[in-house]
Amino acid sequence: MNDRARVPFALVGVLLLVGGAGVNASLGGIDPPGDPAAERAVEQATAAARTALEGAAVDAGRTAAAAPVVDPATSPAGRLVDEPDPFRAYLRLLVYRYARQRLSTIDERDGAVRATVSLPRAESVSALARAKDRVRIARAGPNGTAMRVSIENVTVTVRRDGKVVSRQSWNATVIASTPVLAVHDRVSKFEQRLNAGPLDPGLGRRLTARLYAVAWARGYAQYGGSPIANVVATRHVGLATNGAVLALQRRTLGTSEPTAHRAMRQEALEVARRDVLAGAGVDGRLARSAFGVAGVAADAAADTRTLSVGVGATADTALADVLDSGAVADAMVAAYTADARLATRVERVETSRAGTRKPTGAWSLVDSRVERHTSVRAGDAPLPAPTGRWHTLDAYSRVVERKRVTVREWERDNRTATTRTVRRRVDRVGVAVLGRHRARRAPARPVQDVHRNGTGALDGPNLADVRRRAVAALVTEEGGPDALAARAAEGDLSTAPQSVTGSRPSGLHGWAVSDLAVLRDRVQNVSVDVERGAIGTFAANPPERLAAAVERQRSTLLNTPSRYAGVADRARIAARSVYLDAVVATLEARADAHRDRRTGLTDALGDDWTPETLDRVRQTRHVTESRRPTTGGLGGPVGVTVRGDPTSLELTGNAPSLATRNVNYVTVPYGDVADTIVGSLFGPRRVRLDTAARTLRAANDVESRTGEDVEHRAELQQSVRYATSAVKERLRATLRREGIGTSARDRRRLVAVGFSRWETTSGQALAAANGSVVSPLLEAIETRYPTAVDTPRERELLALRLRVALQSALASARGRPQQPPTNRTTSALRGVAREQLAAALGNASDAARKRWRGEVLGAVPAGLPVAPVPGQWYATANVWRVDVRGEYERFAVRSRRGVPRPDGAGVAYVRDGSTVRFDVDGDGSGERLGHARRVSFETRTVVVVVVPPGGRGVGDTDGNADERSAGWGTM
Amino acid sequence: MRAVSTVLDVALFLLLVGGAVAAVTAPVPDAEPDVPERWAGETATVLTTSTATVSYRLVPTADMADGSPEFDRHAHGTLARLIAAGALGGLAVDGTRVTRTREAYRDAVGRATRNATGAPGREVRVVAVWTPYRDANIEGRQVVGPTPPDGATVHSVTVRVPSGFPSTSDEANATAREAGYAGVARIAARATVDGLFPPNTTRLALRDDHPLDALVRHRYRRLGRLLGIDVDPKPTAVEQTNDRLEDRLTDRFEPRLRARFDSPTDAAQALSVGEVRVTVQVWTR
Repeated sequence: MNDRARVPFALVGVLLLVGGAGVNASLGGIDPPGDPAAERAVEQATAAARTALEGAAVDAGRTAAAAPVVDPATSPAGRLVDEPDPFRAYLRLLVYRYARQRLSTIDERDGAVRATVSLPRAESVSALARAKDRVRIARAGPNGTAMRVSIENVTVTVRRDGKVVSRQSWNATVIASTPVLAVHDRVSKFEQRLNAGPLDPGLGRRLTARLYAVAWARGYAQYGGSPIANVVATRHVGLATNGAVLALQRRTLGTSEPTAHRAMRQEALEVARRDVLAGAGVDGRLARSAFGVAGVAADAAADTRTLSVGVGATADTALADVLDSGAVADAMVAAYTADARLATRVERVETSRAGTRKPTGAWSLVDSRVERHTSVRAGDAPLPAPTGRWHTLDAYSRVVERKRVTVREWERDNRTATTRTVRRRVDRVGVAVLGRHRARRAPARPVQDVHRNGTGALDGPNLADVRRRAVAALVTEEGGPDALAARAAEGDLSTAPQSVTGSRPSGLHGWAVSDLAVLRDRVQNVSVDVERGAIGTFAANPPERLAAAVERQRSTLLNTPSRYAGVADRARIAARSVYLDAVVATLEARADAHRDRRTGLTDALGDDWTPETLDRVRQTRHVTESRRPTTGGLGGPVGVTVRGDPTSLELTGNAPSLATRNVNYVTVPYGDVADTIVGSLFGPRRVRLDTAARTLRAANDVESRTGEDVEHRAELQQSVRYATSAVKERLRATLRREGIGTSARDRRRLVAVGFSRWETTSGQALAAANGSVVSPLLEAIETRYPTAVDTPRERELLALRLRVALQSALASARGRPQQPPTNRTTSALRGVAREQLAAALGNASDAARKRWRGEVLGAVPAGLPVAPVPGQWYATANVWRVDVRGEYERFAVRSRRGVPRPDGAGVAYVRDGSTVRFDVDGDGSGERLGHARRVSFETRTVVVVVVPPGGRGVGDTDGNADERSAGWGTM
Repeated sequence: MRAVSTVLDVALFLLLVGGAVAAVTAPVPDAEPDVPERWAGETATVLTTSTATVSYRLVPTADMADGSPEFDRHAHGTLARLIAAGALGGLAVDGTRVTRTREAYRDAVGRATRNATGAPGREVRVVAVWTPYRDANIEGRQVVGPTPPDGATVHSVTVRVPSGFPSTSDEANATAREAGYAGVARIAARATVDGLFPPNTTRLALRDDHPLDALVRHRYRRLGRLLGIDVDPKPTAVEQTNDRLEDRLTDRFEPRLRARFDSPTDAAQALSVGEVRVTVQVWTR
């Protein structure tokens, strides 16, 4: 009918009518029945309804809070509250039921008129679902600490003498001063924040912040030699969790339990005391501050401070590289090499023709030949002007006369005749030998007395003989100036440049190398400041930044004079340039390896974490404290108190309420994780010599303390000795190459003397591993062959050769002991340590035992060298993954605002896992609606610790890399 | 066809617009003249509709340390609801008060009520009474304002405010026929005890921190003593404790109901556990 799809006018009219009625209802309330007594009764009844509804709302809030439905049951009754927020659904059901009961008490009389108020009975699932839909609740009032309740279609009935005279409905709205919704929302937020991961505001992030402070403090103490075998222990995780939970209570609930704070402080002091007494080195203040106990600011930003990473031994290897590859020698040659070429200038003076081509008459040509005659004589000629950087080394002026004689034989009637024509050309020819010397590797600068012998550095010949050599090659060997001039006149003289190398001073190479040794010292000290935390995740790439730093400082390092003091000086700078290129190239190769290691870390971390998330966790952990929820509200402060049971979550006991697990990724026994990260750079199943040596030392220590044999120790010692021998062998080979020592036996003796300062196998191995053997070895050489090393430069170079030899030996497979003996010895010494603790120290105090254990096991090396190649080691990192779970058996939040009642005022919101029942069908017994689920949580984080190189590194060395609290398996 | 429908449409529209105009402009009752006969009703409406905030302090009993911030409280609600709670706070058995811990509250509510109801030229007295049935010997009462002088013309109105206790009317009427006075007494007793000590929230209170647990325990013990029994309330045995109190109350209620009412049904009609009657009396000064 209405094919234009317009809205019929009648429909608009209906809307106006309905809207108009609504306007009237909201302006004037309820239509009066037109009878003064009835009017008064209705007015008073609706007024009384307000008080009744307010009381119903407050009491419904109390009942709902006492056992809040958080999880709906899977029963038909449970469907009533199966909404995004089941608690609000439950509260609406209760409000309806309470309101219905209380409105029924209203009975306003005025003479024979009675007004009563009612809501329909709702005693089935479907009726309750409809009833619930009539109730709306929302937070209201200041800070949302009150509740607005609206109920649709409340009916007021007026009777006169028992007969109904009118029945009207209205939508009743009251604001009830019950904070129940605010409390529920705060507890819900608390629970949600408890389960937040490390990247979101909440427990994960707060836990990260606390654990970073503890792990860095203890990690540095361990590195510094304190007897710590377990850097991140369960007790620390437990304490950090409890502290973080309390802080979270304050932030989300507005308050926390004073008794919980006392318990936490007590626990923190106890942990600090244990750590301090056990000699853990971290002083009590630090330990307490780490848990925010004593009000001392914790060094929560230890990881953001920087670590200085230097070029270090890369300066040595790059120098050895450029010396051995001949790159420096090539640079020397290049410095003394110039380009030389010829240049000509030809000016025509005269051209003439003479003679007769053909006799007169009918002669025929029989034969013809051409004769050329060239004569060259000295004479004036313009010389070519050099362009660009070319300059004239020698020049010749010639006059070239060329004659071209054409002789023709003619024949006529057996007669012959000969004619000649002569073409003559005279040119003035200037020939110049031009020279050009380029800077090549060195920066372009003028060279003092470049062509003069006997001046400048090394009194060098400079390029003095280059002129002679150039003239010899380009002029003399090509036939001399006259021939060249003739060819130039002909236009077929090659002017292509040729290289001409001048003779070099004999001391040039040595002089340049001495200079490089000085430069090496400066390059070695080039360093960059890297944020320590970023190193651990391989996020920062120190070699890359070092390469950039060297490039940045290049001109300072080259230290080029504004004018070279001769060619030798320029050669020296060229050598510097070559060397710096090598340093940068080596650093860039290391930077590539570093990037590979970040990929390796990704693999090692598995699916749970990536290096990127590690970085983000570290960076986002700093908690910005949000505003605490305010306690002011409608009708006075909300007056919230919190009570958890247990007050402080417990790791131990019959039913632990907190369970933790912390996994240390890189720990001894060395194995998969370290291999995955650094790759099988040196072949699988090998460890660094210093790692094996330190393990051997720890095993020796246990044996001497206990008198017990540590199994596999001998095997490890053998392995360490083999590796040390390989290093010694490499040192002897270096001595031979450098021409030191008269025989193999002699060199063997020299090396042995160098190592004699260290008596034990482990001591010698460590001396080799950290390079401290080089200096005594040099002394031994100088003592035995006082003339072998007679200049500081030679000594410096020999030291360089020895250091480089050490590095390459330590990086070779033979210089790295087998992994299995190291791991087996570590396990064995732990076993002995455990057994002996009881026996040998049975009567010692707990602290003394812990100290003993820390001393023995803390000496075992741990952690991942960030760059594993000897000489490049600038940091040791380790990663801990921490998981926590917790549950309050009962968690109560109470507000003391409200009218006094026999059973106490206010609202108590209690989450204890109890079942919530509601009498759906009105038979007097409750149907299961859902559960007041307990407040529980599960979250995790990851901590990265980075310490400087050397020492024992950082990590859990007590053999319990995967540490779980008592309740972990069951919670 | 379209022409016809358009005419109909417009006609219907105009008709409905007329209805809408009528609905908007329908007369709203004019303010009534200010006559003393209306004062009581007006004052009652003030009590049931205007809200107040009262700050109060629970009065500790002799054996309680009173340093806890828990004693300092605030309440907000309609005056009728506040005064009803005041009446319940004045609960007495045979004229002896159960506790006096809510005296400060009752004083604060009295002040708030006087402030809200006072007007020039008139005196107001508000009496709020809770009692399980008419003429019971257990009663809670709060009175605000002076007693009317002899000879004054007093206008009064009574408003029933829910007490928050379970309502009994339906159940009592049914029981009266089957179980007589004893049945009615049992229902009144059960509703009274459940209203005074609702098991769920009472259990929570008994488990709560000092002084909440002590206050509830004190109230239990005092009521028990006034009814002639010793009670030792425990969070795990709230129902049992309530049952004992209920038995005692039933024994007390039954003879009195029998003596006062002609039939069990009359007695059932007279139960008023679920309400507090707030009576407003107004007279000219």
